Amino acid sequence: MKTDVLIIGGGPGGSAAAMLLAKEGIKPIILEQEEFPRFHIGESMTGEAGALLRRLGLEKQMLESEYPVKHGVRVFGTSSWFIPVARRDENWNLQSASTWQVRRSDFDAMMLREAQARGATVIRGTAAKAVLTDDGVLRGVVMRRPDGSTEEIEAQVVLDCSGMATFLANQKVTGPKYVGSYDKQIAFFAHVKGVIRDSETSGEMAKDNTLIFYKKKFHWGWSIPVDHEVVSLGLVVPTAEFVAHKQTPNAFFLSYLPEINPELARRVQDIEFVESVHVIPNYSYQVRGFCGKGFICIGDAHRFVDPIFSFGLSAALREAEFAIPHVVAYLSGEGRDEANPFDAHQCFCEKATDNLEDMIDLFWEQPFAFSVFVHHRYRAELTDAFAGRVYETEHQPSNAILQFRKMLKRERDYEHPDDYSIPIGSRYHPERAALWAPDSVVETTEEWMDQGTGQKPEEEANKFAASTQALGSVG
Amino acid sequence: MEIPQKLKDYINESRAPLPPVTDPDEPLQIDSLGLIRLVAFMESDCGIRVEDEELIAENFATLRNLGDLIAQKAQGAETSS
Repeated sequence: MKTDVLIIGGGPGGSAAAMLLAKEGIKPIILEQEEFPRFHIGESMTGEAGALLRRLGLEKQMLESEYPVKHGVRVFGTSSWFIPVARRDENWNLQSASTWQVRRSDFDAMMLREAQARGATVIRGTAAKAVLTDDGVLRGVVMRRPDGSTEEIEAQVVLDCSGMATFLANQKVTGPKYVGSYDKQIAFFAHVKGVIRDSETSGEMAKDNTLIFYKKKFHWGWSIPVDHEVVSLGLVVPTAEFVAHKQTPNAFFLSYLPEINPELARRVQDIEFVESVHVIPNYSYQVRGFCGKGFICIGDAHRFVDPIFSFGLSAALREAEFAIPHVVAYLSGEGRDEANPFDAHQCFCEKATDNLEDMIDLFWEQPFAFSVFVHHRYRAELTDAFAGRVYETEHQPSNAILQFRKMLKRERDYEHPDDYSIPIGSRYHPERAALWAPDSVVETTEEWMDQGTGQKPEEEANKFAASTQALGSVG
Repeated sequence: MEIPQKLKDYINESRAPLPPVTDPDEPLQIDSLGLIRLVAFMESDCGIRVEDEELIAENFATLRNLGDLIAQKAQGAETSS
């Protein structure tokens, strides 16, 4: 089988890419292994993600589906604050706006249906193996169908939208996959009924806003409505904390949530699970060299920092949008002789995620300073960041982000091709060591890169994952 | 440098119903929202600009720490001028 563009994964990133390609007259193949609808975490959108859906002509579907309308993010912690969803008008003034919270099983299925309706071919199957030619150009994948039969799909460009499965990274088509700075965290989440919501229809007290709760560093929870009754409830703590409690994920989730913050405790007194508790340990990673000859990784397929401010879904959608012009140019023959025809896109995406990462790090590292920033000093800049306006423009990185970097004693240098892909996101990087207690099995990046004797973090992560799976997920 | 009287007054008001601070090493016990307001007050009413890097809770923990911060800033201003 042959196609111009093969998309691995029919999540929102893949579907959005397909719809955007269709606009350019390109009809891709989407490979999706799961039957939709299926559960997925990541229900909250930024303002910019909502704006992209409108650009895709999906507002009608979104309204008909009656997805909860998000007016902003309320944070309860040592300091409490609210950031409204806001857009910029033509004079760069902030104007109030709204976006959506989505039940991903419904939303993802709608997106995939829409991609198909606009000309994409959706095939049920798994990308089993990446097919490379000798000179390092990716020319397709081997697909395995549900019945076990296999077939090669040749493509000029492969878009890896496989999410946390990180297909091309696992196939070593990309550079190495590094452990991210929040990899010692573990996330528990479930859809539940009975969470107490706020009561208004707009503004800070709107019933469908995202709520984030914390009490101390790295211990936090979320509440994100997915319909008028059901809420996505999450808990994130250091993995060591969970292990020390010797509880099942379900029991730990229920007993620990009220400890996160009194405001959360008040809201979850009488909750009922509508499905089982899901667990994701060690979720933080960064893939180096995630674009190359014949491929681009999008969203979670190359990087996951931390879920705290709900940027994942937006990053997947926006990166898909930014990738398409590069794909179109490549298909028309541009950049074929370059070492990395998608180098500019890769750096562009990396810079944006770095902006978010620096913000998240400062939130945990310097909570008092962050609260002053969010209340008045950098309120507009942080409103932009929360809306997903982090991609490089004359306004980005904002003064706030540059200042955060200074305060974190961190430099980001993008001049040299290798600099931006330094694993800054890795806790094994000496720069990052301060983020974590010095109990890591590996102390430095060099050691991790197998020049030392340390155990590879991938093995470590697998070990963690295995031990968590053994405890099982309990309904 | 001395802490301006109006800043002391402001701090004592922020602490209410706690009694006014007498011991320079006594924890001020102002909650985080109060601290955010304190920073705003210092800037708007006392003309003391608090730099981003100085926004560390410890600097606002006691009158002594706050006095040290203000003194340090005054000294820095003299040196640089």
